[in-house]
Amino acid sequence: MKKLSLFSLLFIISVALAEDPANPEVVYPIEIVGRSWIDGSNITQNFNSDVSIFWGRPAYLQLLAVLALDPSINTDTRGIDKNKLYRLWSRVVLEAKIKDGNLTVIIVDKDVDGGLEAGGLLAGTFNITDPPLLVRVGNKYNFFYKCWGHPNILGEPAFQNIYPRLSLNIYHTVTGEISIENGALKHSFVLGGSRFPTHNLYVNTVLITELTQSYISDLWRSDPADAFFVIPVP
Amino acid sequence: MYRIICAFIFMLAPLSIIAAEAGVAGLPEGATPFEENKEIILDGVKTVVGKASGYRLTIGDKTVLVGPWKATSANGTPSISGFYDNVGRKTGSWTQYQEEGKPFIVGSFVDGVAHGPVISYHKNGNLAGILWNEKGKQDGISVTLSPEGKIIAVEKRKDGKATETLKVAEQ
Repeated sequence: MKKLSLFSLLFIISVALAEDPANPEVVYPIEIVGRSWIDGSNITQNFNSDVSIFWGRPAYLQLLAVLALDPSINTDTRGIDKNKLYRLWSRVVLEAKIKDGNLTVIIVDKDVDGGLEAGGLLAGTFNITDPPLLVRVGNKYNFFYKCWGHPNILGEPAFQNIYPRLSLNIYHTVTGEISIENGALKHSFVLGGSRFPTHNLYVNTVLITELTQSYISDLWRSDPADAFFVIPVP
Repeated sequence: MYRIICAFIFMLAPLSIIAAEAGVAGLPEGATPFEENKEIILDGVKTVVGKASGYRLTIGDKTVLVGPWKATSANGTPSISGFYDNVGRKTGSWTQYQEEGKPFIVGSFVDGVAHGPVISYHKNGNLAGILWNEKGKQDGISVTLSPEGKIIAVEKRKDGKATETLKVAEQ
């Protein structure tokens, strides 16, 4: 057997690794942004038909006034920017690759942020499923993450003074599926979240879903699955 | 030690705020006063829940808030008050109030960024908590207390993120 020169060996390796021009690998970035924000132009409350009927009305009206007027949280803007004009903000970037009819998806970036309260003096907490779940099932991927947070502990007495609560955390969730259909990439994402505040889902900068906030008093209603979280959107 | 001294001085802030709100000296030329009602849907009916008032100034193609700014609830008690500098940045003391008009949270801004101690109070007037903002981010140790003055939790944050819970009261 002839001895291969180093040059020949490198040539063989480079040919083996080279892209097949007739069957190139195609890469698709998928940027997912979730956003939870208080819509100051759409704050509603019904004292007669929900749990708040039993509460101290003056303290509650004061909270409503603060939520409606606080310049740091009265934010009726939308968009994907990381600009503090929200309660929660999350961003996950996926990279989907198709080669020879096979799909590969990886997470390439993840970020999370929270907004401000009490005129901007306090910042709430913010968390994200770390890492987001990405599970391959055959030739498709299932995806999920949750972004959650609660008021700053110095701000929480404003809620507890009205009525004691365990449901401190608001949240949004993104559940998705990435697959191939007729050789092309297909993906779908579903937004979930707490009944308050409003949540948005953007995929590649396009607004896909908006879940409109319910009554503020839903902040006192616990998720049956976890009492420390607000009841979810049905 | 510096932060502790600042925090204790700051506990007297509500008194200085009341004094400062008495006057509106130092407003830039061209500032115009405004009052704006805020409505929410209450029991199905649009209801005025509060009012924001302050001063606006047009600088180039932008209109900013300048000088003292105040939000009051529908019954006239203050809900939030503070100051904007002459280019529209939050500055000095800002306060959020309880329903009786007593301070709930008091803190300060420098050049539009929260900086310095923040103090919160219980309904009975006792200290509820204290933390430090370092150029817009909560930094260092924060302490929260029960209405009776018992320490509930001591938390450590760096660059806004909780790094350590040093003490949590037994329930």
